[in-house]
Amino acid sequence: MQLIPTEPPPLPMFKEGAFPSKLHNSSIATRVGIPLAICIGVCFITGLMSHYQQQPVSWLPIPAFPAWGYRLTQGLHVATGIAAIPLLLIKLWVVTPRLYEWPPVRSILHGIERLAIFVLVSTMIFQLVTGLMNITQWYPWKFPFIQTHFAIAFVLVGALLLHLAAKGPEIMAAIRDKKAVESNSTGEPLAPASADTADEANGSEHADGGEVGSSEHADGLSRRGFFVVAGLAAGAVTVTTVGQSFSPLEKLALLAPRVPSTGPQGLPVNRTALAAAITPALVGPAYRLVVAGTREVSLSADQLHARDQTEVVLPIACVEGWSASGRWTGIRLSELLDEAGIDPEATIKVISLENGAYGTTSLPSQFARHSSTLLALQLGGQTLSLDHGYPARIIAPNRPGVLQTKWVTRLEIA
Amino acid sequence: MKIRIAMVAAGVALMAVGALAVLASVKGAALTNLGIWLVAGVALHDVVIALAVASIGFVVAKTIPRRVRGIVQGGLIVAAAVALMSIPVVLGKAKTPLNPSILPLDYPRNLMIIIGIVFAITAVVAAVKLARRQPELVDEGPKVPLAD
Repeated sequence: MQLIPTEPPPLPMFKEGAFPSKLHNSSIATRVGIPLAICIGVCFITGLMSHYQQQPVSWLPIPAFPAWGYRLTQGLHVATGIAAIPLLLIKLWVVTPRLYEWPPVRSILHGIERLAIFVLVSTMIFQLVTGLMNITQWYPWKFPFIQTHFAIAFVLVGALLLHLAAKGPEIMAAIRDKKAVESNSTGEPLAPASADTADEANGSEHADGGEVGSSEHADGLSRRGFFVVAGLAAGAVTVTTVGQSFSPLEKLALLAPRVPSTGPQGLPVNRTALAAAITPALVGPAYRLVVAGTREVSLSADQLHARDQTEVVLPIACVEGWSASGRWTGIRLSELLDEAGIDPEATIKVISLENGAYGTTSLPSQFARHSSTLLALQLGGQTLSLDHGYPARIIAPNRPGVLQTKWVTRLEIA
Repeated sequence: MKIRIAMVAAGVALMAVGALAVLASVKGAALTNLGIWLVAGVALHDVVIALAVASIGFVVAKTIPRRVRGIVQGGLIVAAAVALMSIPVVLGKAKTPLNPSILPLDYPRNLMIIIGIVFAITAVVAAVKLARRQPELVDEGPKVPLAD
């Protein structure tokens, strides 16, 4: 009994000449794949860095400089993810003929390779789509986003390595074939009609010069034009969104989920006081900031404001990619910690009036003792709004926004 | 060859680590839901998007003059990329009066503006190309590469 029929199903995509475009070939697939792979690589590395910021281990401390470090890496994470969307779609279009190969599986090795490609395509679409939805805070699914996004990334990169290993010779041949961009040299066509043709030249002629009807179809974008358009598509999605982290382009960020200058006191807010269940009573006259070390220092909001103030310019950089610079005024954290007799090497536990996942955060000493780390009381010269963490919040260099704890009420040794 | 074997080994190891991490943090109904999302993305592309692209490509090939066909295809690709990427902000599911800094813009209007600009540029480039007389040589013979 034969498992796979020798004849493909009678559907148009299995017919000879179903993919007449000269753009369906391995050299173009490689050339579109390179920027896509670079985007995926940047996404993976910056994603690991962001994850590490939230789950650090003591033997590999994160430096408190440069202050814009997280702003850059997380901005890149989201920007390269967005740019990868059109690149992935274009790459998938180029290799479409391979989807309709017949027979679908030629050997066990070929079967494994196709399975790995399925995993690669599936995880890549998944990461880009759910990532894009996540930056608009839209979660219509049941799985936990952060853990899933992190775990699937490893599956994706593993499948990508398998794919690169399997296609190694084809990729190298395509890279060496410099003429492919300039001239009409075709590389190896991916159309099913010529998939079995060993002779490359024969195959390409076959694909190009088939019936009259198909060569008419094939007219359109040239090779060079195709690359230009791929670049323009990736450029268009980037230019219309990247202003959410790269403020000089803010005016062009017509499709960005956040605008750096839009929000209370000209700065976006992720979690509002209302969402965090912070009521005016909690921050009223009864409010005290307690710093607990060998001594306990307890200060009211007025006493905080009466102290020596320091001004710093530091960004809020969100895990969702947006970031914005702010001018913060407040008390140097190291001064408060010294006053309470806290060991300079100690990691500080920052406790907020807010309950929940980020109600308590841990501030390693290199951040806690950094000269620009403040217990901020003002933003842009005005008292912090309740949404920005009134009466007092942490602002430290090179930290994800969720760890810049708002509504701080207690500092102690972790 | 050695490099390729190392890549396969590393790839399999990373996939295993990822799969174990998934199983450690996603369980029960959430795992089924994740499986559906993973397969649905591929199905959505291979059926809906691929067929839509093929159909639009067919119509373009039948209706747009050869000399400007590539330009029109380019304009459509760029516009489609922006439109697809903007679906979450245009739908704006998390938009809320309680936090005006989330999704603060009029995204449907902005998308129309961007698509309008892309189509306008496409039309101008196509019109310029059509208006320019092409040397007759290029139009002749099936073996000549495309004009651009």
